[in-house]
Amino acid sequence: MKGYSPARRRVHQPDSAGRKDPSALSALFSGPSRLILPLLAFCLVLVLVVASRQAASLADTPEAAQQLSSKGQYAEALAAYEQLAEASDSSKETKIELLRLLQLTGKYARAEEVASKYLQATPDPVFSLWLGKARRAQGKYADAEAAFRTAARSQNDIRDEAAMDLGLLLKETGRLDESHAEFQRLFDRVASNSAKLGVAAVALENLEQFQDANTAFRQATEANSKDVDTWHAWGRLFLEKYDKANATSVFEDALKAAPNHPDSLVGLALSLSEEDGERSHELIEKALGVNPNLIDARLLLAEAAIEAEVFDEAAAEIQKALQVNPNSPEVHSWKAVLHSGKRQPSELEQEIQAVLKVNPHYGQLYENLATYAVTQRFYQQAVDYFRKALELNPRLWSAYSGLGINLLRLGDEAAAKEALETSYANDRFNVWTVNTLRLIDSFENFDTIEVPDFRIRLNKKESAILRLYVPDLLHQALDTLSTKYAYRPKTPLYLEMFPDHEDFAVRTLGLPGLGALGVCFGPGMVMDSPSARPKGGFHWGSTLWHEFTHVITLGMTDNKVPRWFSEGLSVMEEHQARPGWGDNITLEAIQAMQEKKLLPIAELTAGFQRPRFPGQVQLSYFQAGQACEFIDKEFGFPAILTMLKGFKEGQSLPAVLTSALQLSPQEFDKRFNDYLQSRFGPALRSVDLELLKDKNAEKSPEKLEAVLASHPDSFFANLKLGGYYVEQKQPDKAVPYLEKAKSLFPAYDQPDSPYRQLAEIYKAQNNLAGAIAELEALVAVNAGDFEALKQLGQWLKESGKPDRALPVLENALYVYPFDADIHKLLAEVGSSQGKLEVALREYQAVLALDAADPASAHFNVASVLFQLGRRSEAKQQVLSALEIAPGFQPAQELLLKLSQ
Amino acid sequence: MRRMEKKQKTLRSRLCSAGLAAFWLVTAGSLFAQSTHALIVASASGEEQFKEQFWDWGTRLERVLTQQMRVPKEDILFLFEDPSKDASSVFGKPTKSELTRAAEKLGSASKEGDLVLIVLLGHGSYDGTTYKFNLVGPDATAADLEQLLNRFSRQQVVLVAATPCSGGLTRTLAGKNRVIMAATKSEMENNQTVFGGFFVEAFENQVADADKNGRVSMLEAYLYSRKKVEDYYKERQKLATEHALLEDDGNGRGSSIPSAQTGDGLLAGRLVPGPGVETVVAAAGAAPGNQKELRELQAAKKKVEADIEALKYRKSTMEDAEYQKNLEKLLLELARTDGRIRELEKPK
Repeated sequence: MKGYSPARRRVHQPDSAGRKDPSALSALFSGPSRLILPLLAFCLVLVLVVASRQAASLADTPEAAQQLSSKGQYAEALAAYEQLAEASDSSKETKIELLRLLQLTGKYARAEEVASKYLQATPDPVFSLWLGKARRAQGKYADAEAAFRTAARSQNDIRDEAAMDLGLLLKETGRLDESHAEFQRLFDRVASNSAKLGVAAVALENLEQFQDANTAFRQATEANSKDVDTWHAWGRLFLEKYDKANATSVFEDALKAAPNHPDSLVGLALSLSEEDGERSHELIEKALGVNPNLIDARLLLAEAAIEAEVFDEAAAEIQKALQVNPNSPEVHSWKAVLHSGKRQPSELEQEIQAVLKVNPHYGQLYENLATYAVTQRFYQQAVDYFRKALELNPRLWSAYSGLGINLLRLGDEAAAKEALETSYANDRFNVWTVNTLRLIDSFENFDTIEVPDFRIRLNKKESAILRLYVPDLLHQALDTLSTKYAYRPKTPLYLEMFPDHEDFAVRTLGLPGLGALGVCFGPGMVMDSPSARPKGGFHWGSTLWHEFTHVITLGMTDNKVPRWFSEGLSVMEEHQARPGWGDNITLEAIQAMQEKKLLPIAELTAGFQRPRFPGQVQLSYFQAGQACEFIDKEFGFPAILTMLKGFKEGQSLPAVLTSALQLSPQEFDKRFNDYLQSRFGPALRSVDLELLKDKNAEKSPEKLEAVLASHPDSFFANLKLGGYYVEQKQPDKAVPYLEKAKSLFPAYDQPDSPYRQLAEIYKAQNNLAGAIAELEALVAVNAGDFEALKQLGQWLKESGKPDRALPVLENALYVYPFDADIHKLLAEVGSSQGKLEVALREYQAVLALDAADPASAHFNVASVLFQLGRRSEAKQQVLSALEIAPGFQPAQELLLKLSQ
Repeated sequence: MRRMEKKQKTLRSRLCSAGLAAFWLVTAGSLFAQSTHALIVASASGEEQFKEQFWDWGTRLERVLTQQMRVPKEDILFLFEDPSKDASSVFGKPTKSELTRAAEKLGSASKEGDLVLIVLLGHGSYDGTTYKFNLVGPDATAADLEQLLNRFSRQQVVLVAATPCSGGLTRTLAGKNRVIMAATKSEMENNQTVFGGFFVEAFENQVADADKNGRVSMLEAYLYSRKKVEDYYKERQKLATEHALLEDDGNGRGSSIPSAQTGDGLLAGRLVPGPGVETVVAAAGAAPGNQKELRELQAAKKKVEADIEALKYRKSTMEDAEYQKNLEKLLLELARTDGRIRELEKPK
């Protein structure tokens, strides 16, 4: 990598025109006009100063031009160098800098023209090098190769950079062995040259010696922090090895060395693409502002558009890329992905052939297709593509990783492990591989439970509890949803529940940090165990139901159902499974509707795949769920089945909407928005989020009353004022406001909800019936409120209503099944109702929870077994109780009975 | 068959640890033959929320000792920073001088062999050299606590340090006839602890009475509290920042789970807060004519209880079927004996 060498300083000479007659000049210094002369002189000096400054701002010196370049003002720098290079005595460095800037700003054709001209004038290998770069960028591979080989034959430093470029070109065109040999020769030559660390690092990377490459990159950048090309290559290495944190840091350093450097902007965009889509997009646009022909940037935009199913945009970006380089295997591979997304098999095949014509070993073609297939949940197709990728290039270690991860998703653990181990043996940096192998090793800590139609993997620590509830719920889901959708999936299906959320994330993505709770892979589901989150943190029963719905909708459409529709149906089925199941409407959703942030139906999938603002994914779930409920309510469930059939047949969204609902997407959006307005209208009008920003108003009854005077239907004013009077221990004043708040926004279920506050008031007033009514209303909108369910269950039991207590307490178990008190309560309630099987299950759960009182736990189980007539089991349990507590009287009495 | 064996082995290992704990509970166990004297000290709170919490714990402990354990109220001294909350419950403020005064009072009231329960609730710290219990005014150091305990050399002392940084006390205060319970395993665990609340709860609800003998021993209270602390952090998906220890064999090495292997738990298993043996015997109410049979039955009961524990001790060396058969036989015998004792003890 050549560092920058500053050009010689030149002093600008002002123009000599305007010389005056001396006699006329001297006349200016005498007589009454003697003051004019100094004035004129002053003006002349002023003009000269201004003129010289203006001349300098045109950067007509290499130093000035270099300044512009180092500040990232490449367009201005290029203009300056164009001018400087025109001069007949322009230096070689100036010419090189011109070529560099032409390349950097994407003017490849011009760069080729200029380099050719310079080469003709002076057969310097450096011009061959730049000629090669320009040609390669345009896909003129054979000509580029010739130019690089010419430069590589030189005896000076240029040969190393030329060899490096040649090696990369050979790789790009599929001559992998030749490329390898070239890099090996290069490395052997430069290994001991500390001035060539950057080149050595690239060679090492391409020889798959990544640790050494990393070391070399670090040393190179320490030796020359201005070498942006080395910084950039180092950043790319980190990206290759999935180390986005280090990649970000390196690209940021690269941009310090060279502000606005387009390649580094794109590198940084790639590093940030997952965590900050908006910033990533801005960086790409900025890069294109410098170099509109930057293929990497175009492909990033294309990739995003494909994922969001905005195919026309993707096509436009790919077309722009092809205009720059019509032969690029990478561009054609993305065109293949586009055609795959558009379900155009013959065009897809055409692109495949176009790739293989240039590079017959371009495994990344099928790797890209496989990765896209995964986003569409076509896991089997992904596996097939990964295998093809490896046929083309058996050293594509990342493809082994992808193959292994997707085999695991399909349930083939043995084959998955084999593929992952091959990946790991050859590329230890792949965090996906490492994480997934560690996860597979951890399976020894799990029990596998086989029941009809399901294979369930539960952690040994909690399988004793979860096995009491999970199989039953799975069977309920299978029976209910199969009947409803008239589709029975192929069984056995698998379900895995992870007590460690990061294991679930790795199982899903290969990396920790996933925000989801559950995922469906078609033949199987993976989710967090209830113990993976704080007590009451999520509703595992509802989540399981959600994922099972995906099994149905993905299966019956051969995975062709669009993301928004599949998620929407899963959300809808949660709500319909049991009252209060599924996520409730949030304040964020209210705000989004008020601010009209919902997406048109045609773009809703993008809300999941490429969110543009924080919270858009959650909002998209809400919107999709509402859309499906709208269709169900207004058009009937058969319309949903018609839509699913249409998607299975490969119809587009407009076609499906027309066929099932007789609506265009625009008409759908209008009708749907009307539906939301009618459904949530009162809440939309009464929820005034601005009030929440005024912390003083919240605590001031006078301010709240003033708000109510003008806005009597302000939800928060009513709620906060009610809460204020509760704090002041004036419940009678609080109640009317809380009741009003409840009527304005009945779905509000936060910790300060009117239901909860009213329940506490009524309980304190010994109005247990009133308190119960409030909690019943609360759990009807949010059955995930564990504490409310538990309290309600207790109160119902206390007030002699065990028949109502039972379903409430069972509901609580679908939130958090590890609370011994709930099980005890449920056992007592079940017992009192003669539901001995329920009582037995619950007492067994208490036992499985390693209760603080094991003797009682064993005894309770024994009692119920005795009542069920299972005497020998009862005896075993009562002996266990007495073994712990020999003097335990009730157990002793039971033992005596059993021994009669 | 193999599945059954595996199940029984699992059951066996679970029962082993439970059994060994129970071993300490019962073999050491006799009825409480001592009176109980309690000193409850709530540290300087520093904040309203802690003040309320320490008050809640302290008064609940006071209440459960008097109402459920029937310890005379005059034998319970509670030091709290704000006596105006309830002058009848509070002996004084938690200062060094009041601590000394309270210790003197307990010292003169308690006899040889009595149980002296000292419970420290609240804030503790470690300055790199020594533990400090935060009082109003100068703090009480580990050395001060040692001096306090030395006043009770003839009694059986239980010190419960329900504070952060207390783990080292199991080392520095260990001694003969002393049970030292610490909320943390070392001086380095300096987050606020929840152990104290669960310790109080152990006496409030009968769930802590693991061996179902109608009484909660110090060991049972410790095991209950330890488990509840563990559950507390697990439910909240938080890293546990406290790990309790119990030391009662005098070797200065506390145990997380006292057992025959660790050597701790024997003394703690024997100590039960209560009113004293005279009160208990007075409450028995058996008819005079049954006294002889009662004595014989109680002797027989003691023997069979000992046989049960001895059998459990030998469990790992026996075939499961043989163990179960012998266990059943002994438990039946005990059940019949206990049944007859209860009949005889019933007031006519």
